[in-house]
Amino acid sequence: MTSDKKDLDWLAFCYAAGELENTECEQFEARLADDQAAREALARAVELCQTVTAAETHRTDYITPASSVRTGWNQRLSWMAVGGLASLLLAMLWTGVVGPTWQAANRNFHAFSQRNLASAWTETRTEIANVREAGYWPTLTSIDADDELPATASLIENRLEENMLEDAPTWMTAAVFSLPANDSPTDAVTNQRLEN
Amino acid sequence: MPSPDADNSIIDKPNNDKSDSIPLDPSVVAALYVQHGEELRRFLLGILRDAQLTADVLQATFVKMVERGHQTQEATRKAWLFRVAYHEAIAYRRREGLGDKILRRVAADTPAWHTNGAAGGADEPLLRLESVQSVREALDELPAEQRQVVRMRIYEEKTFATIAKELKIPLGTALGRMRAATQKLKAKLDQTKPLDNQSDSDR
Repeated sequence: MTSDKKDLDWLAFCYAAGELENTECEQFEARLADDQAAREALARAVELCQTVTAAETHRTDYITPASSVRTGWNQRLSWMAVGGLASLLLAMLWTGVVGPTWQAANRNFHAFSQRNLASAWTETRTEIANVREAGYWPTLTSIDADDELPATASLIENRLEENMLEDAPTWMTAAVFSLPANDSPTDAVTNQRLEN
Repeated sequence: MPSPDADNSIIDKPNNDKSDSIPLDPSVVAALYVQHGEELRRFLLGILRDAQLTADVLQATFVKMVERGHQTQEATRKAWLFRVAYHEAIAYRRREGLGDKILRRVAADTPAWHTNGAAGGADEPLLRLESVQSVREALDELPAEQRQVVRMRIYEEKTFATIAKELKIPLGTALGRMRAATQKLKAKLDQTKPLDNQSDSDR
């Protein structure tokens, strides 16, 4: 390597490293316009910096393979354990150990909800009947046409006459079914079905 | 894409034969990219100090080669590419008002090649594992005081002035250690390169 080339490489390195004064920097950039050797020197300087950085940054990366051999069996055993547990869970589901239990709980939950709904609806009907007997139940003629209550009153009267459990108001159905939901597992599908 | 400011004088003297009007075969341009693309990228990174800008200008350079490469002489295409890349980079810097701002930022902050290191996407610089290992060995073989300066300058991104101050040595000594170290490292790096990948000026 000639002295000139060494000087050029050093100059290029200083330029790439931002170590040149403004004037020197401008001079070197002007040289880059015409001097192919200077351009290549700059490329070499950048390459050297990149390589040194990589050598320092990834120094530990190249040690990793040896340690990974030592920890290989631990990883394999971990994966085997995970696989075994997954297989066991699948087998339990397949043979009904888990499935029927969940289904039974679900059935119990629905029965409990139905009973609650029936009970709540019966109590509400009784209270409404008491109010009507006392003469406090609003009638269609005593309420202004602009009020929202007539429609509600009419709806409730009609529902009372139908006396069907399935016709319980949506708000009540939702309320009743929300009670056990605090203690029992529910899912979005069940709630949506009930609301519909 | 940068180009309006680029100097049109960069085009070689046109030939007056029929091949003057026939664009370069894409395979020729692809071969040029394989042969000189990485060196060009490093050159541009040295000027622009930004990997994304470098990728943009590199692309613009090869677009120019596709458009005007047929006007160049085969023997001078590498120099043509570097010349176009240089003018594109300077024009881009001037237009974007980056100029000195980039240099100041790099001088005081992180050099682009640090943050856009060896392992990355297609637009990021490629480093050969063999080169990295070889340079690592060379680093370990350096005298401790030289290795320390190299690490502080390149890895810890400290200026020579800061290094001199921290090590309580004259600035010239810090520079001298760095210069001696870079010569050794570069010699080691060159040993790992295949002959056809070495720059023309190296031969």
